[in-house]
Amino acid sequence: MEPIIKIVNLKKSFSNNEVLKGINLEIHQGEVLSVIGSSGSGKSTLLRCINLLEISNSGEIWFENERLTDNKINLNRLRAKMGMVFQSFNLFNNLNVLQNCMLAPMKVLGVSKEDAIRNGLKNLEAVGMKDFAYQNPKKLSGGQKQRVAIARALCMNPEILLFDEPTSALDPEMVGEVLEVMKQLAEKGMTMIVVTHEMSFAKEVSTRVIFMDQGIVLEENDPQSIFTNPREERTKAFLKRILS
Amino acid sequence: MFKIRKLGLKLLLFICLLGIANTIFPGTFSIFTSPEVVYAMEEESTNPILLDAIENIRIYSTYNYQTLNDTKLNQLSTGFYLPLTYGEVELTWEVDNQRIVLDENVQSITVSSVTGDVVIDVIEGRIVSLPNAFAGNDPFVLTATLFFGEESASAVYTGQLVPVMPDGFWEGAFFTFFRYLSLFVEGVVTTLLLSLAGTIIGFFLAMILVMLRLLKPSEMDSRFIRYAKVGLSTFSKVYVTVFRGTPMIVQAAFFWYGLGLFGNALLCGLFVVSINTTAYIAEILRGGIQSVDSGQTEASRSLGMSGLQTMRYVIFPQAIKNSMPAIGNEFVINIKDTSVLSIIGIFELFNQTRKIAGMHYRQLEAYFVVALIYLFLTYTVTKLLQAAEKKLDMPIQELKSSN
Ligand SMILES: Nc1ncnc2c1ncn2[C@@H]1O[C@H](COP(=O)(O)OP(=O)(O)OP(=O)(O)O)[C@@H](O)[C@H]1O
Ligand SMILES: [Mg+2]
Repeated sequence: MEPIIKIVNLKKSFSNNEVLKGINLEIHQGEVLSVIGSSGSGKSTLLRCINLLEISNSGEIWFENERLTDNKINLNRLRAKMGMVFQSFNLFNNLNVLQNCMLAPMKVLGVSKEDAIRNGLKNLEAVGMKDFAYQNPKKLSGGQKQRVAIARALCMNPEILLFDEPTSALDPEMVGEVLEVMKQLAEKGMTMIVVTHEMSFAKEVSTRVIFMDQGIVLEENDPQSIFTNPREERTKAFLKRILS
Repeated sequence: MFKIRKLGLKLLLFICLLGIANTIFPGTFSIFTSPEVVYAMEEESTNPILLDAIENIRIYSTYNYQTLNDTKLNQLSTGFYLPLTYGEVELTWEVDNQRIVLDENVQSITVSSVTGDVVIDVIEGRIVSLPNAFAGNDPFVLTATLFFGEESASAVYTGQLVPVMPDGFWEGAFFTFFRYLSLFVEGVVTTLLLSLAGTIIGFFLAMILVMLRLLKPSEMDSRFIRYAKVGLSTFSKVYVTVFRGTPMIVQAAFFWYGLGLFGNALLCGLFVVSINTTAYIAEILRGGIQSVDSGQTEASRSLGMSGLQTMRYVIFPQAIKNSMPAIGNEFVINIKDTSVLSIIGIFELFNQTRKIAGMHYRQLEAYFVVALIYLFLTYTVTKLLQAAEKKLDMPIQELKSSN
């Protein structure tokens, strides 16, 4: 089967700092890929390159048989098919919860207002936030915000969801509710790439784990193998540090 | 509390509308109109010498020997001299008002004319008493009968005695305020009109200007688009530098005396305030846009919204809300700064006050009163804006279906 995303020898530098040094990766329909690695290893940069928030220097990214690294590509149409969930939620402060979910479907997909409301409420319900539909996002807790952010991404009916440390900014007692939502999405077959420090999530929910180190994918395996039997020394060191 | 705020805003709006209406249809609202010119003549003769005399008779002020004909008779508080001859024409005078006594004694005074100083025979019209401070103007009619040989004619002059301004400072200030209230109101309306309209127009122009400023050439653009973007962005930068770097009084003189823009001082003044405010608000908005967290843009772009859509639906609403206090402040500043437009002859509040101060030759009271009026305006507007801000604290705008 064709992968949804195929990355070939992707490189990205910020001035002299080469952050991605040749990434090769494939993600298939229905996969949940966890990306782990120490701080500064380029995990966020990789996600942002996939979503074209950063423009890579060389290499190729294919998304559903279209080459994203092509200059002529219509960025907006492709981004619309990839949902992104940020560490800092980034809910639109000028809109209420439901409107956060309606804006892009209406403006990008041209969905009618009625359909946007219906779809918005449906997705808010799926993340358990329907009761907050008319609230100001500023008044929500971190966990609630992140669930709204997930609902907002779902409203675009994306082919794939990208998560960049979705629980890192949360108080410990709120991590669970967000992971629970993500788990449900995974069970429904949503394709996801999740940058995370939550090893339990990586272990239990994901279908595959990659360990990034200094701008390359150092190790790639199914969760069971990578956690119980890592091949690389640096993976071992990282897991030891983070699990202790 | 809520109602009072609303009322205040409505009142402000109402005054401004009235002002606009008054500018478009002059004279519709009596409080804004000055009295008609009160100089009139009656002609029953066809003799050219008499007609010429009627045309040219001059009444002189005892205060400074200036001619009082035309509008000055209408603001009379000093005595006057009435000529007894004009060439071969002889004149007699009558007045219908008890406050004025026409002296029998003939005096000779020297007045200047186009042909040099001339000595003429006059009688003095002495003002015995002026109407008291808060009474209205006291009208009078001066009738001249002109004799030339067998023929005679008459000329009628109407005028008004104005009340005296009381001596003390406070009394004078009260007098100035109440007596010239309608003139002050006229000035306030013009000032509010200029500053409010200027701020609103400036706001919309600033939105365009700041958009231009934020244009960034990207690798995907064609060569032409890239140059256009750089050009427009530079234009925006230069505009801000020029208009913030030069005094508004100079801009006003430049556009009015220099270019005679619009052929109408008021419109030209509005233009000057607007383009000046544009520069300041553009900088405010730029700050407001920069203060919006970059995560907002990223989230919006990641949902597939274009740069323009992101600007319009996500960044701008937040930037404008962040900028509101500073933009309101710009309005308050404009209330004060439009006073410089007096130099192009607009009778906004300050210029109106200069006129009033000149009427009684009492500067202190007039400028004291106008200082209080300015203070009242800026304070009230500041409070209203604060109230409005609180109300707008949670602006969830309507989403419309169309793009
Ligand atoms: N916009 C940028 N400009 C310059 N350098 C950047 C930029 N974004 C990231 N970097 C650099 O790239 C490197 C990798 O950053 P990245 O955010 O991808 O790491 P990460 O693996 O996500 O780390 P973390 O776990 O801390 O989020 C870092 O050294 C960072 O300083
Ligand atoms: Mg990161």
